[in-house]
This record gives sequence, C-alpha cells and structure tokens, in this order.
Amino acid sequence: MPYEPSPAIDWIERRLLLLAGLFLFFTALALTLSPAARTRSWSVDLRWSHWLGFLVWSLGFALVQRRLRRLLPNRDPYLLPVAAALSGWGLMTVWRLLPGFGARQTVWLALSLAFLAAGAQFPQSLALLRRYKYVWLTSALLLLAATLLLGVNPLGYGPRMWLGCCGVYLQPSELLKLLLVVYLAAYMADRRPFLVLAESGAVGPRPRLARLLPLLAPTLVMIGLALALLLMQRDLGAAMIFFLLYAAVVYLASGERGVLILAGLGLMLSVLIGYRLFDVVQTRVDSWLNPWVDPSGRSYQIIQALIAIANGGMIGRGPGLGSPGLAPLAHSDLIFVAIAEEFGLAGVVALFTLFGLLTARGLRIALQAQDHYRRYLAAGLVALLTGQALLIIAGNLRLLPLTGVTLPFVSYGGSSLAISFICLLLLLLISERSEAAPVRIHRPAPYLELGGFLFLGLTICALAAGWWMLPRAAALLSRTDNQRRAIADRYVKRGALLDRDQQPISVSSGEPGAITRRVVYPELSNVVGYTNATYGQAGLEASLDEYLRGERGNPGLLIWQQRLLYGQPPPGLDVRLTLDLDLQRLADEHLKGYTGTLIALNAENGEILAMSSHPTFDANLLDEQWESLVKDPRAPLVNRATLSRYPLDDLAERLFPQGLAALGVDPLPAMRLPLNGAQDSQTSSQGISKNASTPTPPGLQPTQPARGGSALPTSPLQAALAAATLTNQGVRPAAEIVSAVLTPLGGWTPLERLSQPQRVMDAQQALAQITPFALPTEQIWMAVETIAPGTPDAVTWVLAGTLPEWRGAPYALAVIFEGEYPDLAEQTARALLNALMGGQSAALNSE
Amino acid sequence: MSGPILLALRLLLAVALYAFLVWALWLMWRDLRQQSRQLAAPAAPPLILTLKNDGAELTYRFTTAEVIIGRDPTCNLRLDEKTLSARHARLSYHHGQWWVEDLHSTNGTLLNAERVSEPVVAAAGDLLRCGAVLFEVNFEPT
Repeated sequence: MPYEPSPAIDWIERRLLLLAGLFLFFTALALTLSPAARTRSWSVDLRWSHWLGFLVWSLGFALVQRRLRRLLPNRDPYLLPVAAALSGWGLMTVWRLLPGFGARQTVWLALSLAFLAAGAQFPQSLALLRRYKYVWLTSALLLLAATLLLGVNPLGYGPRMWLGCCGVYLQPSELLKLLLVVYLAAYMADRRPFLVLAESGAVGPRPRLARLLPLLAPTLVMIGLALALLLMQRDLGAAMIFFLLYAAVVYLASGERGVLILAGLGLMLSVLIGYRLFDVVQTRVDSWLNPWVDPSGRSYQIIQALIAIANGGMIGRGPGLGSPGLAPLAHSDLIFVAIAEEFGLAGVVALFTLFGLLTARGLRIALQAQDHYRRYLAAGLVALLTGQALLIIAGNLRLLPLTGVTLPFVSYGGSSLAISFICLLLLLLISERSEAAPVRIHRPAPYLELGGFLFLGLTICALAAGWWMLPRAAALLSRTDNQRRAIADRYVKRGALLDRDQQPISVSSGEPGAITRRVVYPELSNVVGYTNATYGQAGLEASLDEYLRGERGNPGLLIWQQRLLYGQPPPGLDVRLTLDLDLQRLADEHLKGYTGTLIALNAENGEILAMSSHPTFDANLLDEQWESLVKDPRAPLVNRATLSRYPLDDLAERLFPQGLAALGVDPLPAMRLPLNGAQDSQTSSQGISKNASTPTPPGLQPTQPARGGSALPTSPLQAALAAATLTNQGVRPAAEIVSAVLTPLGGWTPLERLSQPQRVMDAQQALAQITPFALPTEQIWMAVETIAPGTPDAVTWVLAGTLPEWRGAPYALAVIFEGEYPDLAEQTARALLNALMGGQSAALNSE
Repeated sequence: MSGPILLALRLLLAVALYAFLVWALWLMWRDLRQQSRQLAAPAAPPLILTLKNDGAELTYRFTTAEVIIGRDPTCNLRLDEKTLSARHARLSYHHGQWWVEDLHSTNGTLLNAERVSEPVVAAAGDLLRCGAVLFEVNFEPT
C-alpha cells in the first residue's frame, strides 16, 4: 500500500487524549475553587496539590503516546485515551478524598505508565507469558500463599491480603487474576486441536461436557488451588471473579453452553454454602437483601453509599462540593459512589460508556487477533476489566452484595492500577495489526454473548443509578443518618429561635465552615431541644428544622438555585416563639433545684408564655455531658411539661367532674409541634423515671377507655389547657408555642394554626366549677393539691387562672413539683400570675 | 460568585467528557459503516489516481470500494494542501460504476472542468480537480 493508516490512528488517539485532558483540566480547576464555593468567600485556602497529579498524568500520557506511535504504529487508537480518562478521573477523585493517598496514587500512575512505555518495546512478552504459563501462575500462587503467613493490611486492620514493607504494599490476588487469564488463554489455545476434535465428534458419538472434562482437568486443579487460597484469606470478591473468569474463558474457547450452566449452578451453590460457613458472606448477603434494618451497623456502608449516590442527582454536586468521604472506603471499594455524588447521573453514564468503549474495542481486538491464544487472552482481559467493574459497581448500587474488589483504572491502590495498565499493555500488543489475516473463528457466538452480557450489565447499572438518584433521592436524603445535613449546618447559617420580644433563645454564629449553634438561654434546652452533629435533633429544633434550615418558607427558586450552585440549603429563617423570656426566667428561678414543671399560657389565644421543666440541661454542653445526661435517673433531657404524665386523682374530680376528655383536651395533636423529646429514633425516650411514665403517642390519652374516670395520669400541658378552658369561660383555646417565621418575601409570617378554639361548656358552668377555688381579692382562682402524700410518688399540683372580674387577658397555668411542696408550688403560681397581671404591659398583649 | 463560576466549570467538564465519548463513538460508527460498505460492495475494480500537479506524477492505488480525498487524517487519500477541505470528495463504487461526489468542500470539485454538485459517474481518463489538486482517474481491469 502506498499510504500508511497510522496517521489516522495517531490523530484519533491524540484528539481523544486532548479531550480527556480538557475534561481533567476543568475537573482539577473546579476542585481548586471548590473551597471558595463551600464557604462562599474567596478568603479561604484553595486546593492546589492535585495539580501535581494532573501534571504527571498529562506528561505521562503524552510521553506514552509518542512512544506507542513509534513502537506500535497499528495499535487500537481508542484504548489508551479510554484508560487515560478513567485513570485521570480516578486520580482526581482519590486526591479530592485523601490528598496523601492521591500523592501515592500519582507515583503508582507514573510507575504504571513507565511500565507501559517500556513494555511496548517487547511484543514477544506475549509469547513469553504463553510459554511459561505454569511458572507464572505457580509463582503468583506462591505469593498468595505467602500472604497467609506474612500478610499485612496497610490500614492496620481488616483482612491481611497484602505483602510488603516500608510503605510499599502489593496485593498478590490482583496479579493472580491477570496471570490466571493468561494461563487459561495459553492452555486453551494449546489444547485447541483436541477441543475441535471433541466438538466435531471425531473421537466420540456426541461432543458433550464429559468430553471436555479430561481436557480441563489441569486447569481445574490450578483454579481449585487458587480458590482454596483465596477462601482461606477470606478474599471472597476475588474468588468470585476467579470463578467467573474461568467460566468465561472456557466458554469462549469451547463454545459449550453447559459450562455456563454448570458455573451458574456452582456459583449459587457456593454462595449458599458460604452463607452457612462464613460470617463475612452472611453479613454481606444480609445487608444486601435487607439493609434498612441495621443502618448504623452491618449495612452502614451500603446505606451511606446509597445516600451519597442519591445526593448526586442529575449533574452531581461538582468536584469537591459533595461529601463522599462519609461512606467508608470511598477511595477504593466505593470510588464509584464518590464519582456518582460529585458528577451525578451525567458522570455515571459517561463512566459506564467509557467501560462500554473498552469492552467494544477489546472484543474487536479479540475477533481480529491473529491466533487463538491472543484471541482468548484479549477476550479474557475484557472480561476481567469490565466484569470486575460491573461486580463492584453493582455492589455499590445494591444490585449485588458488596464485594471488596476495586474499580479497574479508577480505584485507589497501586496493585490494582498497575495490573489494569498491564492488561492495557497486553491489549495494545495484541491490537497491533500485522499482515497476517485473523485466524478463523470457530464459534463467534460466545464473543457476542460476552459483549452482550457486559453491555446489559452496564445498562442495568445505569438504570439502577438513575433509580437511586432521581425517584428515590428525596427519601434517601431526608434520612436522619444523612450526615450532610449536619455538615451543611457548619456552612450555612441556621435560623435563630427568638422569644416573643425577639430576644434570642438559640442562635447560630461563626464563619462559614465553623458555624456553631448556641442556646443563649440554656434553661430552655429541654423545651427548644438541640441540633447536634452526633446526637441529632430534638424539641423545637427538630420540629422547626425545615424553617430553621431554610428548606421551607424560602422561595422555591432560591432553594433550587442554592442546591444547584452550592449543594446547600439557603440561609435559615428566624422563628419567633410565643415564650416570654422574662416570665420564663421567673419560672426557672422558682423551679431551680427541684424536680417539676410549669406551663403558663394566655387562656384566650392559647399562646404559651412560659414552659419550664427541671432538672434541665445545657444544650451547649451536650457533647461533654451526653453520657451522664442519658444515665441520669432524673431524666433532664425530657421535657416534663409535655412528656410526663402525673395522676390528678381527686383534684380532677373536684375541678373537672365531667372528665378531661369532655373538655376536648387533646392537646398534643392540636399543637403544631411534636413536643415530645426527639424527632427520631436516635434520641427517643431517654431514661424516664418513676413519675414520668413512658410517653404515649400524641392523642392516645383521651381515646383510652376511661378506667376510673379522670384518674388517668395527665400531662401538665393537658392540665394547663383544662385550666385555661375554665378560665376562658368554657372555650378551650388552641395551644401554640410558635408565633411567626421571618420569610424573605413576606416578613414575619404567622404560621397557620393547626386547631381552632372550641366551646366545650357554657360560661356559667365554667364559672361554677372554679368558684370553690376563687380568691376574689386577687382576682384569681387556684387549686393546690398533693397527690399520694407520704409516698415516694408524691406530686404537688397547682392549677390556677384569672377570674372573669379581671379585665386584662385571661391567663392560666399549671405547676407541678415532684414531692410534697404545697407552699412552694402555691408561691410559684402566685408569683407568675402576679407577674402576668402586674406586668400587664404591652409586651404580653402585643398580639 | 464562586458558585456560578464553579457551575460553568462543571458544565465545561461535562461537555469535554461527552465530546470525548460522542466523538469516539462517531468515529467507531463511521469506521463500521465504511467496513460494512466495503464488505457489501461487489469487488470494485481497483482505482488508480494519478496526481498531476507540479509536473511530478504520483500514483495512488486503492482496492477499497470507497475513497475519500481530503486533509483529514482519516481520509483514504490524505494530502496536506491548503485548497483541500478536511473531507473534500468521495469516490465510491456502486451499481457497477465509480461515482464522484463532492462533500460540500469549500473550493469545490470539478470533473472534466464541470462542477460536481451531485454524484456523477467517472470514466477512465477523466480529470478530477479538488481545489488546486488535479488527478487523473483510471481503473485497473478486474
């Protein structure tokens, strides 16, 4: 031919490498700027170190390309760019996750590329591998056996599958995978004449599996040895790959479907046996089949992986802007998850397409190979690379149990990267076209089936990724074990909780990246609750979370834009409560040192003005005191005003002869807020002691069969509402503790009331019921009673309110002291009512 | 401000990545199409193109059923000549004839001094002008 085809090959390869370089350049640039976007300010340390990786990558691939152009002028032009894109992508991701590991990976990449450049000079290495196949495989097996004795794990824990010292570690099972493919390809090619004979029926009546078996006996011994060693090491992922590779190569060479059926049965059988014998298998299979039952234990890794994938969405959070490091082993086994979170569905589909290109080119090389050994080898290498990628990606997506194998070219790990590049080298050597025509294919179907199987797997994985990223994303991201919410709290200011005069109760402050939450008035901790990275959220912080976090009340466009640009919610909204801090202080002064609770409310509109529960805690010191708080028998974490239930006994009979249920006191569902301690299972009912009975779900109380009439234990809030009903002349108010939210568009916006005031008795009746307790000179009524005096369960109740003669807004309150403190309780109630009626200022009547 | 800059970078990196993939797939598809045409076509008489510029005569012989002339490295006949387009003209064998077709080139294709605007049949001895390059078309008898 007067013209050379090589210019086109070079041109294609260079163009593709350039595009891959452009992709990596933008990725690296985005990674550099990512800290600025996270904190939304330019006065931060930008990331620079990964440019070293980019430099090594660019120089390395440019040099390798130049060398290949000279040494292998007729190579396949797509393989090198695909490997470059994959390894560069992985390098940037590793660097983004753990810069120290990124530096190591860069060194490994440089070594792998040097090996590739050197190896291209020796096309005869293919023949060498073939000739000494037993030597290679046996040495790899010996290395693997050595790990049983000398094995270490660079992490210092976990399975000891590495060999090495002084900071350099090798994983022999990676090498073994490659040499197994080489061995099988060489063996099958050597036995080719017998295979053909067996198939053609020349040596027997029918070509059947039984005829294959004697031929395969030596390979069965070798693979059996390898599998036994891997099982002893508990490297089950590698064992699975071995098994599949063996089946694939034998099927490609023999074209005998029975091999596949036998392998499938064998795989199922071994999973069943493994499930019985190995804890590891059991854990992995269980957490695959049912991960939701144990999200913080066995299935922590897969659940965190799925949450990270869901956080990716359509186009991902952007390099450096996600939090993929939350999933354990994100740099090696779960690197696909890290890519999915930061590059989204668009990136994942691109990643699958890269592996698809690798598969297509690899199989094409196999079909055009000049002899059977090269053909089996190329197809086997494709099965190794893409098959392993499918196994781990499907594991990450919960399509298969999670196995500890790496993603070829992408994952962190020197052995894995080096072996991937050796596979690439072998494929490039095989692809170098010569004058010799490709050898005739005996049966092309197995190659098409292998390709079809791998493409089908990639497609299914893409669909699964889309499933987690789009329809399932909202459910996954709102899980309480999604730590991205706590991380966002450090970067985005959370709204403040204010009292009715806009004095701060709980505020966030600090620079983005180090924003902290502080309760300004700590005595209210068990009412307003807490929001803590470790212990979750409780109280009003939990129930008002959507407003405080800015996910509700802000314009939808702003929320969408902030998520797109920064992966964060917009700044949170301030919430104004109905509490009055002056009154609250007074209540806390009286209760301090005792066990008890107090609720004071406006009997007309139901606004809760003071809610105090003692002993209380300081939410600012939660990290230091959590253990002792949880174990404290006096249950300081519990808001007694809403959660505890105390018997009212004959006080109820005297004050509310018709029973509390008749008053419609069903306060908990009527309140906007689940005032019970916590939002989620992390902190539900921490140690509730003697009088404080276990919290019942809201609203259960009134529907219980009225055993002994009103003798059922009553929550202080219910009792306070009952007292307010009598004070308010028979109209039960709707209790409220949240008054308004400061929205950017509408200013202070009152929240919609969840219930309405309701007339439950006529005014005369209500007046008649409080008359026996009236103190006309003070314009108040007050009922004081100690229940079960003289026992450890003694409780002192005060229910009180204003009389109709009082011209101002009507007030009612409930005071409970655990123990016998009738005088103290009466003093407390009187002090609060005096403050309310005396301080009948504009402040309390402003609404 | 960092958010929009980063969004632009994220879009650019996605564009580069997909440009890589789309371009690779398109090249592979073109390759496939060419191969299938070659396999489907009856054995074409080998095409001889003689370059007649500058007095020096250079002869190219093609056994494929399709020959593309242009500056692009993927062309069958690649010439580094300014007046040629990247993919300038196509000669293809079908219906028992060699056909000449202009691939929307900038400087046009002329067969025997007539502008080629739709595929026309080439005969032995025809003069084909692509930009400033002149060929003589001949066939080898099969």
